[in-house]
Amino acid sequence: MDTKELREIARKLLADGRVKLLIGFEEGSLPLRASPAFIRRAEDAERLIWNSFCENNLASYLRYYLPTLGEGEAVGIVAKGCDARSVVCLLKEKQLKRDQVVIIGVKCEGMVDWKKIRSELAPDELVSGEEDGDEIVVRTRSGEKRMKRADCVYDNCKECERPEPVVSDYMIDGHPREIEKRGKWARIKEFEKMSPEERWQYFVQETSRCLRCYACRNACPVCYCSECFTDSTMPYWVGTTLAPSDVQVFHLVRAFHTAGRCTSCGNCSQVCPVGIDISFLVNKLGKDVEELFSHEVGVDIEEAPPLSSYSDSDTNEGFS
Amino acid sequence: MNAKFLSFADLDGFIRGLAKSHTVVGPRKRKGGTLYAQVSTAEELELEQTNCLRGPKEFFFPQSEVLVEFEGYIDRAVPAGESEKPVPLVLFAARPCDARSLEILDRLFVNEDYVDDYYKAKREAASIFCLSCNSPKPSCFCTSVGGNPFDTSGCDVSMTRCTDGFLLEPLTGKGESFVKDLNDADPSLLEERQRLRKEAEGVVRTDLDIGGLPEKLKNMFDDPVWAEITDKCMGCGVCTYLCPTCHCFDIQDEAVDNKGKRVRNWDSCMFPIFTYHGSGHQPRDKRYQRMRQRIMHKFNYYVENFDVIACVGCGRCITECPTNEDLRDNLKKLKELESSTVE
Amino acid sequence: MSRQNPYIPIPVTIESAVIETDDRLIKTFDLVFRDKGDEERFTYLPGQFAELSILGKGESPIGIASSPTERGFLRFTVMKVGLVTTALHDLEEGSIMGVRGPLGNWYPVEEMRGKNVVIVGGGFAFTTLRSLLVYMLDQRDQYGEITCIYGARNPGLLCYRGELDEWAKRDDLGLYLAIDWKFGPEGPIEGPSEEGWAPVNLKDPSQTTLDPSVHKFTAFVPQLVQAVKPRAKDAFAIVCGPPIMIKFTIPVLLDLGFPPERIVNSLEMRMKCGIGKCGRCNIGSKYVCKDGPVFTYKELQNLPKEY
Repeated sequence: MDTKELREIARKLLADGRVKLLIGFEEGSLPLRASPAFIRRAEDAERLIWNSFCENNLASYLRYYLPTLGEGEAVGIVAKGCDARSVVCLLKEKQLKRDQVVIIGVKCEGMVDWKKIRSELAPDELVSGEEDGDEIVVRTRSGEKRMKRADCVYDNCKECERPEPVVSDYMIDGHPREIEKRGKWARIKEFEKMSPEERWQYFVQETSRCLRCYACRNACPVCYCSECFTDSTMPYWVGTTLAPSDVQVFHLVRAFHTAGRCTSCGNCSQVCPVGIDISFLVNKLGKDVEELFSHEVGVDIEEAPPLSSYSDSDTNEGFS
Repeated sequence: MNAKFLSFADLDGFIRGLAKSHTVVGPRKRKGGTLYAQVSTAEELELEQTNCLRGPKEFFFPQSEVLVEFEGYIDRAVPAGESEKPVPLVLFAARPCDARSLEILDRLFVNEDYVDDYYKAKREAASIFCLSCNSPKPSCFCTSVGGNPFDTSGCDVSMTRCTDGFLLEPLTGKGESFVKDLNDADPSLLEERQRLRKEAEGVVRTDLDIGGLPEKLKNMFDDPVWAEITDKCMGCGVCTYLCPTCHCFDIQDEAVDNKGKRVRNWDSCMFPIFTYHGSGHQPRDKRYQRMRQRIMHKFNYYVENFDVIACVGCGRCITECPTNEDLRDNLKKLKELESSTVE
Repeated sequence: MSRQNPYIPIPVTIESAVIETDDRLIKTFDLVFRDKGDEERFTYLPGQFAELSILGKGESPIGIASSPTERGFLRFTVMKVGLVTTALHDLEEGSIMGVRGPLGNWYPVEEMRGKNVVIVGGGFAFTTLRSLLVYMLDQRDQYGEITCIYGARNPGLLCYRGELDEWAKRDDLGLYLAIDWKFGPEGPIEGPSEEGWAPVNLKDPSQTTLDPSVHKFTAFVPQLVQAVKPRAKDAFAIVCGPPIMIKFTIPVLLDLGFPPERIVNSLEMRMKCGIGKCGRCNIGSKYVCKDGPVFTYKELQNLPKEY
């Protein structure tokens, strides 16, 4: 992708005062990482980059900066397909007005799973690395290795059918890349072939590692409640211990709260420090909502959210 | 006692021997990363990886721990675990930073104000074998906060991986009792240790110099820099939960009718409701105030109260942060800032 | 682990539970130890607090309202704000609950011996001030002049009203009570309130002429302090109330000549362990539960403004 173009757009938006703040990505301080950048001055737009490590869904930061906007002011955000759809969800839920956000859309070719690369190299430590066309170059103390980029892309990204933002004020091309396209809900379809008992065991086993660090919740753009149900003491909905029932209830309820609003950005799984595939659980419910209510998440701003609207044509499946 | 030697081939027998009378906990490969977990053979140990995903505090200060059990009237409230003696534990192949982190936590949990019996009992029942770091990670910065890849503080036995096996140096009576039947180490191994130590020290990131920062921080409370370094933070608890010296906890009651437990769980100063008053007042409403609390607590308040920085430079908060907040960069920025606060 | 384990609550019985204020949100509980030994070991001074424990619900840190000179019971005045305090309000006389303490530090009762003491309280924060006042009145010859200025939004929200009436009759105590101004479209309405409490001079409270037979005033607490003009020489001022009251009272006291090291506050914070381990109640390097809750204004000036 043309970083120059990205920087120029950003620079102009800031210089013209069109946005007060631009949220994008800059070089990370660790190998194979990019880090969210908060640009407030036109000359700092030079810090912006774009690469296959820009995995964070920047829409989750909007909740902190929208309250700082005055009348007529806006925040700029660099958004991939999934990120832009999250912004659409937030618009549908009236968390912001369309003129409060300027979206620089980027056509995404999938993000690279740096944790997967790290665990493949272990026990060698990653010292440095970068993208090089269709390869990822990594260096450890033992030497240099080249890996195929396509092998390192997140599973989530391989299932994405909307890499291009559905809503944007500017659109930037990426570089055409080789990426395996598995089709939407590919893993969920496999999962559905398992018996309920097997599915339950999978869920119990995955969540048994949970620390209740809430990285998944905080990274999620649609988890913006000012008081999360886990923090409530009156009523005390769910315990804060690591007892399996407490942990399982947390994940189940969160999955229900995000069903029909989740855009499968995969951040929840990416940020989990113990490697729980959280997006998996939410995606199963998301597929159900899509099928039951014929609704694709985050595509049409005008369409009401499926779980907060009623229509006579809503399915009665499960009720008859 | 002289230093001892344990060949790679003999490691398995040694571990099995320990496991007969102790619970042995060491680095073990798990889904999601290498973690400190129970081992009974050498094969289960993962000693090449430089460090585990989490510090060892969970064995002394568990994530979720019952403090009081009760049924009916409070007369029958019983301190949990009163009838059980803590299981003797050997923490095997902890890295020096992790061993040191326990000494740092000791100052808080066991002091002349109040003694935390739960923590104390587990600490007294444990012995620590630390394994020096021949190959520190790029994200390590132990030397900047008073540590060292070959440090021995907090250890009963200090192990160093040499060419043919491990050099074991007992440092306490407890340590001696574990290694007394091993062969003495050849003096050349001590020289090898010195050489490995120099190499390791050269690898640790040395451009981070925070000398004088604890004192300087005292006057930086109102500086605008805190908001600048907090933009990226999304307020989760990953840094605090993985950190070997973070100690904040919550106390909650879990009961059905009048039978239940009072439990303490890890908590994080990065969560908004950490300081939320019943009246609705919220002293740390903004993310930057919580980030400030975290850094000031570790690098200034803990120093004032306990004479030690509550950070061992393990780098976990840096490598695992989902948004790449980098404590090293933040500390550097704080150190280099010309103080602009009016006192 | 012995009874010394600081996390274990001590069993007490609720001997009486009385609604204190007209809005029914504040109740005073008198608690009696079930074991005499526990009672003897629970030695405390005014200003300290305890964690009131209801097993199954949780704990709440509440200042001790009784004075150590009042034997046989512990008094706590509790406002219903959350899970634990609601459960506490629902408990009946005769119920058994727990107390963990005494915790924290205390008012400087030793340093104040022989000196004049000015107590300034607002709302239901008066609770530990009652402990201090009763302590001093029970050893009246140990202290100099005692002045007590206590205000609430309206008369129905004052605590310990029966005792206030008794104290007003004493001639060895200067008691001044205040209720808030009512507000009209232009601001506070001058003139006596509908309850008939004498107004202070709204424009310049220090110009108020005080009628010695009157002890009930319409004023904000800081204004009443200005009107009363307590003497600062060799005197201590103990101030306890909502943040806004403290914010405006301290400058008044400084103006009157009270030095920061003799202005004493009791702070509130969200607490859990109460013993300085769980990390949440700190202001700078000080834990409000262990190094406080009593701090002099001078100490607060050296701490970050994080409360």
